[in-house]
Amino acid sequence: MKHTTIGLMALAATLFAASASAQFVNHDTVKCEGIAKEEMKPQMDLQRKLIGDGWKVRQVKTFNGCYEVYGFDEKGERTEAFFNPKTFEKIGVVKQGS
Amino acid sequence: MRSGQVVKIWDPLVRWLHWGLVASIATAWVAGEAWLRTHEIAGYVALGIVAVRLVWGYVGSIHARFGDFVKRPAVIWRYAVDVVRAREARHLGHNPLGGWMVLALLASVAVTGFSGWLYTTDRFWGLAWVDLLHRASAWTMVVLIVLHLGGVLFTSLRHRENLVASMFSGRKRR
Repeated sequence: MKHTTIGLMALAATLFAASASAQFVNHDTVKCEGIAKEEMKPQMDLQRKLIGDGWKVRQVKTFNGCYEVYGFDEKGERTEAFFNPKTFEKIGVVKQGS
Repeated sequence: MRSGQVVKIWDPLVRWLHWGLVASIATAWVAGEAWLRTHEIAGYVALGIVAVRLVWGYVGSIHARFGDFVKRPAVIWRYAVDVVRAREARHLGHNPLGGWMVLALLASVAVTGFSGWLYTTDRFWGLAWVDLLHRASAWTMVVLIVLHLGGVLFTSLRHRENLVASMFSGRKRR
């Protein structure tokens, strides 16, 4: 019983240590506040703009008031990025885990 | 519980895989999208555990084997009726309902892990249906875990034994 508990703690510690070495913009802390619904431009407009910039867009969602885009950027890199829904300004990119 | 009346039921690998799965799923859940790398590593650990458990289900000790606890639907139905009427037989290994729960849990982890891996490939990256499949199977897993815990608690009370402790020690009363 004691050995199992120690083993579990070691496993959890290893998994958490693995996260410390990674560098990426934290997904959950992204926020787009103070933007009224009617101020938000349509997701399709953002998608069209990004495609014009050379992106391949797979999915657009709303997260914490921001537009969250999944796809490939102009360099063809796999990208998950957040945009201000009013200005379409890029807020940040989530570094992919693998 | 007197010694001599206690038997080894769960072999060490079964117990390690069980608690390893608990730890890896809990880690993946907590890490979520905020700690993506941790989330992915935990997911792969869980997938690995499922793979080993599947093999162990054929070559492991008696009560680790699928042949010991995967029963026909008719047997499960009869057991369920017995449970409702409070006259079900006690099982040293998994009972017929618990046996199917093992398969359902393993399947839900496998689908969740596999769809998560799909999402990391260029071919399936960002696709809404893969996203949805990953979330749906993860939530299905959560529902199954709740039912599993309910089943463990219910059966422990019914047969006056601590099944959680058994999953640590591997031992049960005969």
